[in-house]
Amino acid sequence: MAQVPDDDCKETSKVVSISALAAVSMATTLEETFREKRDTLVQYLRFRIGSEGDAQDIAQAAFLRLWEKRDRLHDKNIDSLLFVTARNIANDMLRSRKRSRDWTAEASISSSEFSDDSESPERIVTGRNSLAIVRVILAELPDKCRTAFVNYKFNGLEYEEIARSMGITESMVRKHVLRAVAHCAARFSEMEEWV
Amino acid sequence: MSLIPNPKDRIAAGYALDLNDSNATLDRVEEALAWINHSPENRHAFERTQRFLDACDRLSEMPDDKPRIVRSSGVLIRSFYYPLLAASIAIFMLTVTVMTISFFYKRQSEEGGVAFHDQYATNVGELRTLVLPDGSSVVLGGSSAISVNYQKNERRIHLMQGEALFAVAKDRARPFSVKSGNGLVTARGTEFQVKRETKNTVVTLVHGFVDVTSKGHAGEGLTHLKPGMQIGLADDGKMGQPKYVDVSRVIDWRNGLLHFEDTPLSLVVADLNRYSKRAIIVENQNIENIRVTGSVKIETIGDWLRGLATAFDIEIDQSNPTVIQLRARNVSRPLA
Repeated sequence: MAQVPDDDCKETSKVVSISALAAVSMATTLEETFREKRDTLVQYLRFRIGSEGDAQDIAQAAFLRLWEKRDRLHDKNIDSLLFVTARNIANDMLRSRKRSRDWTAEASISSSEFSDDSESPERIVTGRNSLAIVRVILAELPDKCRTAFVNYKFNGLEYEEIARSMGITESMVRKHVLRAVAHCAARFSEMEEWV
Repeated sequence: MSLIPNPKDRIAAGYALDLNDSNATLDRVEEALAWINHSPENRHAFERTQRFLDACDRLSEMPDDKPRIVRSSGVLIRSFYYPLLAASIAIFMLTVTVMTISFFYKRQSEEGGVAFHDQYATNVGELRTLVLPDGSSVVLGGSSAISVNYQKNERRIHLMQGEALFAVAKDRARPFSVKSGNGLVTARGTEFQVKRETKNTVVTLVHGFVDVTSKGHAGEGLTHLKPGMQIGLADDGKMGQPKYVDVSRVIDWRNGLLHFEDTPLSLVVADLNRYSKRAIIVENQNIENIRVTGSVKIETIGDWLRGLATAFDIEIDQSNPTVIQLRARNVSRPLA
């Protein structure tokens, strides 16, 4: 028989209600899921956000968000739910980061390059050169490949939207984008060594 | 120029796109991470890709000189702002350790008639709505105390502890003011909230118009708040910058909900202790500064703390029925 924490337990009945049992098992499921997926979440978030501290914050915030509403959750795919919650917090953070950089970019380029404390000093120093390199590399791409990639990465369009505007299939768009990234990344690191 | 990248670059590119996809799924991300963690070569290929994509992000933020790039509204979504890591709203919030209660009661009524004196205090966990003689109302939060001193030409409140939400009845002849620490809020017809912390006061204006003054050994100031704004006043007289906040969340304690955004654990616990039947004790200083974002129902504080403990990997001890102890987890102890 599962124990209900005394905080939640009304003395009026000796029978533990099914919903109380469900709440207890959901609490356990959530805790276990968090412990099990935490490292994965943090590593994923670190890649997206660039900072270990922010990655930890988001993972914790995601767990707490679910914890606070756990009596409304269903015991299914909790790991995906935790992941999506964290991913969406990261999405929001990237948007607001972009927004604040857009704002500072109005003033001057240098301020936008130096104002973001989430970037490492190394990134800032190499920042300007690498931007020039990106321009050169993009120009090397075949037209369709470049159009697909620029629309995806710089214009933030979905694969499906790009497919429609280019009159090709979505899977073709994916192939173009993938080729562009694979090629450009290799060229980029090649050229970085030269500069 | 040939566009046949080596297979590893191609795989790395695929996984990098998966990880950066705003609609990524857990399965794909786990697969990507497994591949990246599989060997140093894989990781190297992935990091190379990520560096290129990062450079693209920076390029897309440049206002000018973009090669064949047209900004669409897609990248400039401005409607969602997630303030998780925005600067803390209360500039002067300091570590709360002990709540000192000083019930000093001064000034006897000089005149009869409109003069009115009283003191009100709430217990831990108690919310109380008061209606004052002029029709103004006060909602007192848990473990809060005010004294009321009405004279024929002024209405004065002293917030000694906790927080209170004031809805002020209009009376041009008698300004309504609330003193807290070295801060003074003056209003005519308006609704605002004042919160007393250990070494500072936080004022939030719901609607109307208030003047806020502050005077102490380290400085003084006068400012006006617009509806939706909040300001922090340190007891040494220094005044923070007014900021817009989500007022409905700031005053949600009336509905039994406390909201925290990027707030140090010490302040979260100080707030919760005004509502929790069991005193919450933070045992180790090194966890007092953990930044917390979350919403707490007043009835289930103990329960929420358990979630907090899991999220931040701290130890929660509820074995003593009168207190809840939070302590740093012993690093030598293996994780459960």
